[in-house]
Amino acid sequence: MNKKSRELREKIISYTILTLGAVVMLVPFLWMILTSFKTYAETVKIPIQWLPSVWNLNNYREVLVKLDFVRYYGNTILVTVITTSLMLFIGSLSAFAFARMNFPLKNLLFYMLLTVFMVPSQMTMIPKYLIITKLKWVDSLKALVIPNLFSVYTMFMLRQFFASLPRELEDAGKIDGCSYFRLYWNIEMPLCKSSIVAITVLNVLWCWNDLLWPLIATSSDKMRVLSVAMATLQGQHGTQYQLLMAAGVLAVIPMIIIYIFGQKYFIEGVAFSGLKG
Amino acid sequence: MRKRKFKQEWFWAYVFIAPMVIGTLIFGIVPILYSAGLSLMKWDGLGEKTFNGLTNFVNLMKDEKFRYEIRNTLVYTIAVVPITLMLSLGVANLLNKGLQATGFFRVIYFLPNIVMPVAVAMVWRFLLNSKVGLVNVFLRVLHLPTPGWISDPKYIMASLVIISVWSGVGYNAIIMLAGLQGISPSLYESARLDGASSIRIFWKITFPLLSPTLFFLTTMSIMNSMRAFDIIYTFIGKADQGGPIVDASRTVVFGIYDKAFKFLNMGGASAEAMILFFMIAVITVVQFKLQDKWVFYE
Repeated sequence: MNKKSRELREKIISYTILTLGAVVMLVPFLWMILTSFKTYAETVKIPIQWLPSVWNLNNYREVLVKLDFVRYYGNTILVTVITTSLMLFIGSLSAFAFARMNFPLKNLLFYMLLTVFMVPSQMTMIPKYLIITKLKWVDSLKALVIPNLFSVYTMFMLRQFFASLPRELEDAGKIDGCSYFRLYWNIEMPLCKSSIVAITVLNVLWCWNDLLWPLIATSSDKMRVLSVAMATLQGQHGTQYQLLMAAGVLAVIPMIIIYIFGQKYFIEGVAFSGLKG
Repeated sequence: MRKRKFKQEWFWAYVFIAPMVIGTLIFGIVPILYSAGLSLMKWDGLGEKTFNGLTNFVNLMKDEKFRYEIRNTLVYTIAVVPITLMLSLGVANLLNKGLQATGFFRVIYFLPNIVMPVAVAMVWRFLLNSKVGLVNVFLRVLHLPTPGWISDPKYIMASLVIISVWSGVGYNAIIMLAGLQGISPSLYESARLDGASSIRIFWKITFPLLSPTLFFLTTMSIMNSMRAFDIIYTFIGKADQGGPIVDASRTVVFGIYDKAFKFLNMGGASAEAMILFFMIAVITVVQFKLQDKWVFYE
């Protein structure tokens, strides 16, 4: 009995702390959503007005149409889809070669890639900017996509998976006269489906949210992406909270949707990267 | 016959790694070397490059903004990393108690991590507004002081730390939880049978077995904090105007960005990037050296 009541008490304490923490985690999101439906006057009212008096979509309309967020949305989706799919293809193809094939200089090349991975991207951003200027890519889709395609991280993670697959598969394929590409594409890739999803989900997240590179690689609003548009909006309409929050909700929603449906992969991907690291 | 097969394997292997290797060469290795070279030159990004030795580094040492940047980066890192890790460890431990709602809490705590840092900074700018912000409204109800979180240079760093901790706890907690779940329950059972207290169990079982995970997270968190940009850039807001608020919150990456893309001082910016790289490298090496002292590998 004593043990049981102690366990119950412990349970209650744990739930209380976790719930308080969860409230702290959630309140900013709720506040963002509530504010996005308010009028300016309602956002700065003292004492605070919790709910909007009229629920309307005016702020969303203004952000999407007047502030051109429709275009930024399109740009971001385009950049994210192209970048992450090519990133996966390039990364997995090289991961397959490093895990499954033998060739001269293999280790040297592998460690060279890993060394580059260790260098913070901030160190390379100025030369990268100069390269895209030289190539006249500034403000283009190419500038946003190409320099980010070579993800050593993706390669490294997938190499670990490929290396853990049984060798027999490959031998069977070889006897059947499979080409190396078919071995990679038709036999080994489908076996890594869950790890591919986990890594891709993390890549999508990173690509969608990144600010520094798009900020450097674009100057006009032609190819502007959401993160840059939001930072700009913050600079121009810093106190128009209802607009900022509507923009924030719009920028965040696609990732939340992916998260809700793929949270298993998100969390697995993160936990896995942590354990392997 | 055999030899031809080998040749074929080599050929296809090189084809498969070619995009990755060539891309990394152009957008990784060349930039690293280029950056090192630029740090020794005077260049506005357009005109002639002139070699000027260590002048860029000497100028940085004399520049008070650079001193602020180093100070702020270190203060930010020293505050964010331990606070985040300790809170995460607490959360991970609670999540590891086998409560029914663990999955639900895990999803909620991880949520800030999937949100664009720019949006995080934006919503917190509103929450921390000294008059209409929710945080001060709450503090007012409790009759606590209501500082100018954004407008007062004394508090701006605290605000940045709060935001970063808020968005970092979930990520770290989930990795720690995965680490905790890897510890065999039989170890705990036998310790409890021996009558060990929870504190003793934590220090003798949990901590050593979790230490590789903690080591990984500490290393990564320090690296990431030293490179923080998105949240800070957006949060400071009127970054273009300078002034005491910006001085109290500008970090090294902020400084690199500022020098390169606002003042077109490519040499100075590259020199600062080299210093950042060097700082991160030294700290990481020291951590690996200290590893033997506290990290336990089975």
